Amino acid sequence: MEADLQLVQQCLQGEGAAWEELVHRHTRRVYNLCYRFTGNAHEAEDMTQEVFLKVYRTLGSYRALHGGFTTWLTSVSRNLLIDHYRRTRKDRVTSSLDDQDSPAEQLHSAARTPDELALAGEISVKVQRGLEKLSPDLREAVILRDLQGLEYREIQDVLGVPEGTVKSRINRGRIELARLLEHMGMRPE
Amino acid sequence: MTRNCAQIEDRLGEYVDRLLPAAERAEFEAHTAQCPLCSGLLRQVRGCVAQMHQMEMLEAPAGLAPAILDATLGPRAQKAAFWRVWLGSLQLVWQPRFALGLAAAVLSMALVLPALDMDPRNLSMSDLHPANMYRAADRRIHILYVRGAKFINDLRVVYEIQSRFGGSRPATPPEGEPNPPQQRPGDPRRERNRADEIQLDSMILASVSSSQTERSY
Repeated sequence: MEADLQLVQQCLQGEGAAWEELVHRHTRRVYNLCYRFTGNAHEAEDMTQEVFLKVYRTLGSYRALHGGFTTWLTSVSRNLLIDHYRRTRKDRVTSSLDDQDSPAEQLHSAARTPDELALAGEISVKVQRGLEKLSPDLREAVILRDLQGLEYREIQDVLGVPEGTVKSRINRGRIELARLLEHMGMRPE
Repeated sequence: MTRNCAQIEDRLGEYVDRLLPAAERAEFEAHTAQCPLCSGLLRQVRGCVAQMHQMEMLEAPAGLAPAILDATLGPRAQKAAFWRVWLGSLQLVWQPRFALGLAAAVLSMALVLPALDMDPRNLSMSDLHPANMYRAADRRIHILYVRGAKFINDLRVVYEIQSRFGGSRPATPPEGEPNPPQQRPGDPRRERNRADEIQLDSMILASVSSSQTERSY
């Protein structure tokens, strides 16, 4: 948090190296958020670039009093993802559960042993497919809580909704996802 | 107050995240202990959360950060990123274990190649073939042996000559004998002795230089 704040201040003073460091520190997190929300590696890559372009342009509007830089970055990402979702709603085709693994999942699985690949790859792909079937409100709440590891308070700041709504969305999202996964043949451990 | 299934379902997320106060938590557990539907749902949700926690973060594509920097800072950032990637790829080589292995290999080559009479500047792949290295080592050992034998023989000859010529000429006159008369310059006996010394020196020099010439080959 402190390091991010310092980097932001250095960026605002025109230090390119600080911006470079900020990008390298947060690219992976933003890319994961985008991929888990869109379910598409190319879209996630484009969205990640778009997020950082917006952050670069609006960095001056960030105030540390409004929360940590990660929360602010996640909020910017989430807003762009929702805009992207609304823009592409008409063109979106619901993917089948039997679809091939996406390139990102294959890349992710490449560094693991065959056993882990078989197990974790199957879980990852099915959870991803399940997430894509949730409504955007529930999907983003579950992703932020269980995949990005944000606290309820931070999710409240990111989504800009009351605490009760955050709890309700996380709860409903998990229950729906659990039922979808069971429907796909994944039994709880 | 006992809770019904709908109320339990509403509190499921907070229970899993351990956010319920102690009293509500106790009520929740009392209900799920008796209700198979709610306990089954709790097990499902816990399994789902555990599966999501098993999912590792994906690696971002390698070119993504450089592309962002290129789009924001311009080509200079891309160049810097290229150097960062290039230097990052050298991290493997910079590890102490690898560096020590490399130093040991260089040291070994520095010792072995001169010993085999090979010039590192004109080294070819065929020189590193085991059969060729064996032949080179064999040849080198034979040359060293022959030179050593020659040197010892030369020394023996030199010492033999020295002892033969030096032994017949006492270094100091015996006690009690008067000193030999001083010879004047141009004395024929002195001139002959001087000629003998020069001849002896030339023979020694010739034998030493011949042994050095042999060694240089």
